[in-house]
Amino acid sequence: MKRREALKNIGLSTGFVLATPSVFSLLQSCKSDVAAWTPTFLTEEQGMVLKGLIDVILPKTEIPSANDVNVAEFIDKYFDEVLMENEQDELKTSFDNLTSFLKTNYKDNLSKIKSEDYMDLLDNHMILNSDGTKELDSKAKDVSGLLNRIRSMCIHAYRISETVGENILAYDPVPGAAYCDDLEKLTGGKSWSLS
Amino acid sequence: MTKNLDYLESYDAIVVGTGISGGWAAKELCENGLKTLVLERGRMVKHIEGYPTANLDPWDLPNGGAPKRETRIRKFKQDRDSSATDEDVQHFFVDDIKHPYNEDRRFDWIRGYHVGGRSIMWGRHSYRLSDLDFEANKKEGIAIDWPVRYKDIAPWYDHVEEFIGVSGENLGLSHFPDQKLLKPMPLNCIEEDLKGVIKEKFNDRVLTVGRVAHITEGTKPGMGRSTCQFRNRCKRGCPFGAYFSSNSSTLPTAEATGNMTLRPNSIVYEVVYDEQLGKATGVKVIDSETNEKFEFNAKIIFLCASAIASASILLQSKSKRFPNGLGNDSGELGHNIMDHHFKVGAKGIAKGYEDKYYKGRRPTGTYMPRFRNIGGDTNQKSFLRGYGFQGGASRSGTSELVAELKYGAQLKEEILKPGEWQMDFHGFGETLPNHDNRMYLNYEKKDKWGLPTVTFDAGFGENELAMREDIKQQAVKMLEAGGFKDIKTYDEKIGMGLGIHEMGTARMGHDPKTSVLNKYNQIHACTNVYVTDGSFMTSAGNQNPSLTYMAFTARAANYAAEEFKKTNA
Repeated sequence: MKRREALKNIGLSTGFVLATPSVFSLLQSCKSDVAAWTPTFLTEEQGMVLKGLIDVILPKTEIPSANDVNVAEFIDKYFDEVLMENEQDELKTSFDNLTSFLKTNYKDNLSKIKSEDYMDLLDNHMILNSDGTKELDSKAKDVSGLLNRIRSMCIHAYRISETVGENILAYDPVPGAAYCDDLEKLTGGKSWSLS
Repeated sequence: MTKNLDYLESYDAIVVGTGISGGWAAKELCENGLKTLVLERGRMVKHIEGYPTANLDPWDLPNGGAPKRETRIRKFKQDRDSSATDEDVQHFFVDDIKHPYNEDRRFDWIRGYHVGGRSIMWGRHSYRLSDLDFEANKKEGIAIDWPVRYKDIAPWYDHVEEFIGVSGENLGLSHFPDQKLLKPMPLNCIEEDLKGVIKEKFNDRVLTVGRVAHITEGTKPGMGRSTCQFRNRCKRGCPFGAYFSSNSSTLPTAEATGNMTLRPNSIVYEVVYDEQLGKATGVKVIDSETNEKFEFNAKIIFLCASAIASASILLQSKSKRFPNGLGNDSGELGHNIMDHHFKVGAKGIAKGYEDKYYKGRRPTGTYMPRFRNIGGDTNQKSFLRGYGFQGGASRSGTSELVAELKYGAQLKEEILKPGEWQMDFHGFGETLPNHDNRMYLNYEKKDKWGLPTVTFDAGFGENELAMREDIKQQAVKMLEAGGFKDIKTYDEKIGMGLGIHEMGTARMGHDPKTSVLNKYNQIHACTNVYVTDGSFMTSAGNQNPSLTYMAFTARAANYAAEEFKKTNA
């Protein structure tokens, strides 16, 4: 961590640096422990649903899952600190719709809902733009909208987490040059974490 | 009014404002040996140490850098600029509750109140005006003639470019002058191929990389300036001093002469006019922190507070001789506001480049100089003047398959792969001067310092709207010629001001009856007051204007210094 900070901040102390990519590939990853979490904006029940959903959306593979990099915590804090009050009110209603939908259609006790249930929910009740237009009643539309929002925020939060940004995507804080080349040669097929 | 004992009784010169223009006025006056007091209404920002977010990654910023609710509430007008309230830069944009203004018609007044002003957050595109621009009003019978031609200002463009460092490519076009340029930043592979297509299929236009005030080779004077590292975090302040700002360049140079006194937190609200002497003797100032009022005296006053703020100061400077504001004999002060209209163009998807990518985050895009109404076949019936295209090609950070996957391991793989290449032609068009586009003072609504607030009544006209149609059509034509797919036009309904190129409120001209300033940026009837920010612009051109403000400021400051030396020798 200290080494990374030192490299990142080198320009601040000297006003000048010549950086090479190999310097930055030496960096250590910085993982923080996932502590027990109490949501700030969401209710505990909604936080549990959020965690369940994102664990299905970006599950654990050979690389960390969304929950490994605290995506639920990011989303809850974002709702709490970024959204305007009217947006928060709308979101609370949507989350209430989602939890009542889950209770009605899956299990009354939300803690009993399994990954398979969330997969079924996403398969059947999240309509992607690429699915074209489907006629939905307003509650179903609201549920689909919230699931889409959770999915896109999950992707965004995952990609801008420290672990993914520094160690999984191609990380290049001080490129020192700009040019085109083969994708494989430049990043091994990955996209850059910084834009 | 009290005396401030920390400061001299009188200075040779006072400069109001520390942005693009104020920094240049300070540098040139100080280098000419004038004891200069530089007044800035905002807080101090020192180069490097004043850039708290310069090295932060998204995960270092709260909420990935998204604007917090409190920021958007307090900066609700700055928020009209899509990135001004982001947490990595919002500290450089004003609090709209503390610094209110009024709108008869929507006007997006995007401001930075601190040492360096908007020279920290500017877009850095740096182009010269040409005689096509300086002669346009006269030839077309629009507004009034510029009292300056390209030959008058060309040496000052040279002077400025050699000091600040501008990278780019010279094209040998008479209406888009060559400049003193450092090596250009590279085009990426899509842009390079498109450049070839345009050269082959369009004999009236050329695609190049943006000319931007970045060092791409060697170094430049100032405070430890070095070459661009392609981080594209310029708006946060650059710890490498790679792009030009007052903080990295002109202010340290002025300070090094020993002739500059810089006073932040100093709101200038009036230029003091002496009826007997027939000239200005100083400025009145409120300390923004203590609310104390001071008067500072000088033989020369440079107003560089930005087009709206300088006009506001002059409108507040009422005297027996100038009952409608200092220098306002013509009634043009505060009128003829111009900006550039933009957020119009077209985008398309490039196929066949999936195995290509880029390294580095180039802090600029492509540029296409004006190609309409430059003579012969290029002349248009539906609109006057012209536009340039900015934009460029970039690659999405996630694969296009992401749109079709709901969840799971494959989705996770695809969000880590780059996606589609997209090319954007984004028009930046000239706005015609119009007396009806104006700002005026509202004495009913005062700010927290008891000063009148500014009200805007300005908007785009028929010529701009007709030009926007052509911008969209030409962008589509070029994307089609380049073989791009899924071409879509865009045309956002924007208010004037969002180009952050507001200008024209104290235009220069030959005749005091129709203009505020003469050809050296002096108020016609009060020649020891110079206005050298965007206020002086008689027409807008379509080029990003900051370089022109710098050149006119340097020219005016050297003229003022020569006059000063003649009378004080």
